[in-house]
Amino acid sequence: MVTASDSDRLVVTGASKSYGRPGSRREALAAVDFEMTRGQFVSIIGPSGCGKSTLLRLLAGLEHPDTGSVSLFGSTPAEASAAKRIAFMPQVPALLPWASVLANVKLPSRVNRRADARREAAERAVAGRPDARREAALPVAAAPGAPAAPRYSQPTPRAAADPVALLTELGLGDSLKALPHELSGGMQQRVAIARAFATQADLLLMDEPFSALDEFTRESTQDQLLALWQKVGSTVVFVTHSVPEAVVLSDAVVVMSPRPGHIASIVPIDVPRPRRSGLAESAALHEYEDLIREKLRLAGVELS
Amino acid sequence: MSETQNGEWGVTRSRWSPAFWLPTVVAVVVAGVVWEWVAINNPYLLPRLGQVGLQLVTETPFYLENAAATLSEALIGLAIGLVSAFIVAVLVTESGLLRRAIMPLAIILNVTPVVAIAPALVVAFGFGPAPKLIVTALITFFPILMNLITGLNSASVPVLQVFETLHASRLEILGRLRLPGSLPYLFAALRVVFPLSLVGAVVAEFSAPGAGKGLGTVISVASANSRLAVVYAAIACLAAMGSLLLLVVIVVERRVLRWHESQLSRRA
Repeated sequence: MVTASDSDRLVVTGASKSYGRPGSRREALAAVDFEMTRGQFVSIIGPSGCGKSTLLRLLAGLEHPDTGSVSLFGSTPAEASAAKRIAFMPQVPALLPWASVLANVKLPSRVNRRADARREAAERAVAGRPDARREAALPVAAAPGAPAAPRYSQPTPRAAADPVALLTELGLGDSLKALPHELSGGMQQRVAIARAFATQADLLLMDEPFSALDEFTRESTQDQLLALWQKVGSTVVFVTHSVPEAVVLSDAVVVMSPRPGHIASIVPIDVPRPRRSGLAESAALHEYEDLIREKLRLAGVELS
Repeated sequence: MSETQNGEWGVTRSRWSPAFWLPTVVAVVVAGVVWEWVAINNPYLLPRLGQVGLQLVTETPFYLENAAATLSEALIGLAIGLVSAFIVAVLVTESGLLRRAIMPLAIILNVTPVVAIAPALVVAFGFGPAPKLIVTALITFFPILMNLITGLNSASVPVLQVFETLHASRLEILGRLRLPGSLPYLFAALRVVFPLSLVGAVVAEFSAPGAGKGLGTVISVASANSRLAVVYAAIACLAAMGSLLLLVVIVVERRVLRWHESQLSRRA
C-alpha cells in the first residue's frame, strides 16, 4: 500500500546486515532506522567500519538487509533500480577506460532501455491529461487520482540530463572525445558526476566520491555538485569521512558509530545556501562542525 | 600533437643513433660469422648461408607456393581455435554449471601433447587439409581460452556496481564491460598464438609426409634426402612468416588498445 507520504520519503526501518559464516559473523549494521524526504541532501559520516557503505549498498539494492526494510519513495530498491531511478557513484570514478568521456556519460541511457520506454510511456500518459502541465511540476503524490499510477513520474528536467550540457556545465566541454586516462583525477570524478546525473535518477548514492581528490579540487568539485543538485532537485545520500565536507554539503548529517554499525545521531544543518559565501555562514558552518565532532566523540570515535 | 613531437624528435633521433641499432647489428653479424665457420668445417651440420640464399632466390615460386599452403592452414586453423575459444570462454564465465562441465575436458586437451595426436588425425582424416586445421585449432585453443576467461572476469567491482544499479542485463554487462575489458588479455594470447599456429600446421604436415603442399612437407622430404640447404631455406620462410604474423598482431594491438595502460607509456 503506497500512501501519499510514502512516495515522497526514503525510509529505512530496522535494517540490519551481517557478514561472514555462521559462528564468526560480524554485524555490519544493527537495526538502523532512518528517514529523509525527497530532494534532500543527506551525508552519512563515521569512522571506518561503522556500516556507512553497507547502508549505501542497501539503498542501492546491491545488497539486501537481513532484517527490516528499505523503501525508496514507495518502491523497493530492486523496483527503483529496474526503473533506472538510482544512480550509484563509487569511491573511484569507475569509468570505462576504452570509452570517450561523452560515451561514458551516455552509458546510463544505453543500458536497460526498457526502463526508458516505460518512463516515456508514463510521461506521455501524464502529458495527455488536460491539467498535465501543472501536475508535472508537482511530485506525483500531489495527484492522488492519477491513473496507471506512474510512481516515478516526477520529471527530472530533460535539459539537465543531456550529456553534452552536463559535461559543459562541469567544465568538460572541451574533453568530450578524450579518453578517461587523459584526464586528471578531479576531471575523471566530474565525468562520474555527469554520468550519475545523466541517469535522471530520483536518488543519487555517492560513496566517498571525493576522498582521493586534493583539497582545492575537492572544494570546486563539491561546489559543482551542489550547483547541479540544486538545479535538478534529486535526492542525494552522500557518504564521507570528512566533517567539513558533510557540513557544507548537507541538509542533515547522519553520524554513525561502529561495532556494530548504528546511527548515533542525526544533525540538521540549518544554514542558508549558497554556503561558504560570507563570514556569518562560515561561522555557522564551523559551529556545526564542532557539534558533529562532539557527537562523534560521544559515539566513541577517536578523532585524530 | 605529442605524437608528432615524438615522431620528429624522441623516437626518430634514438632510432638513428648508433646506440640504438649497433647492438642488434653486431649480434647478427657475430651469429652469421659463427654460422659460416661451423658450416665450412662441418658441411653435414649446417649449409652455407649463401647456399640457402641461392635456394630462395632461384626457387622462389616453389617456396612461395608451399609457404602459402602452410600459412593458409595456420590461419584457418587459428580462426577455428579463436572462435571456439571465444564461445567456450563466454559460456564458461557466464555459467558455473558449464564451467564445471567444460573446464576439466579443456585442461585434459591442453596437457595432451598435440604432436602425439597428429598422426592419429592423419589416419582418421587422411592426407587433406582437415588434420592440419584440427591440430592448429587445438594448439591455439587453450592459450586463447585461458586468457579470455581471465579477461572476462577482470571487470572491477565499482564498475560492476554502477552497471548493477542501472539494472543492466547480463548481455549488456558482457557487451559493454566484460568483452571490451578482456581485449588486452586477448591480445596477449594472440601474440603467442599467431606464431604458434605455424607450429601446428608444420607438425601436422610432418605427420602426412609427401602429401600435398606445405613447408613441413618440404622439410621432411628434403631431410630424407640430406638436402640441408632446402631444409634451412624452408625454415627461413617459416621464421619470416612467424615474424610477420607477430608484427601484424602488434600493429593491430596498438590501434585497438590505445586506451590501455600497456600502450600509455609509449605516448608519455
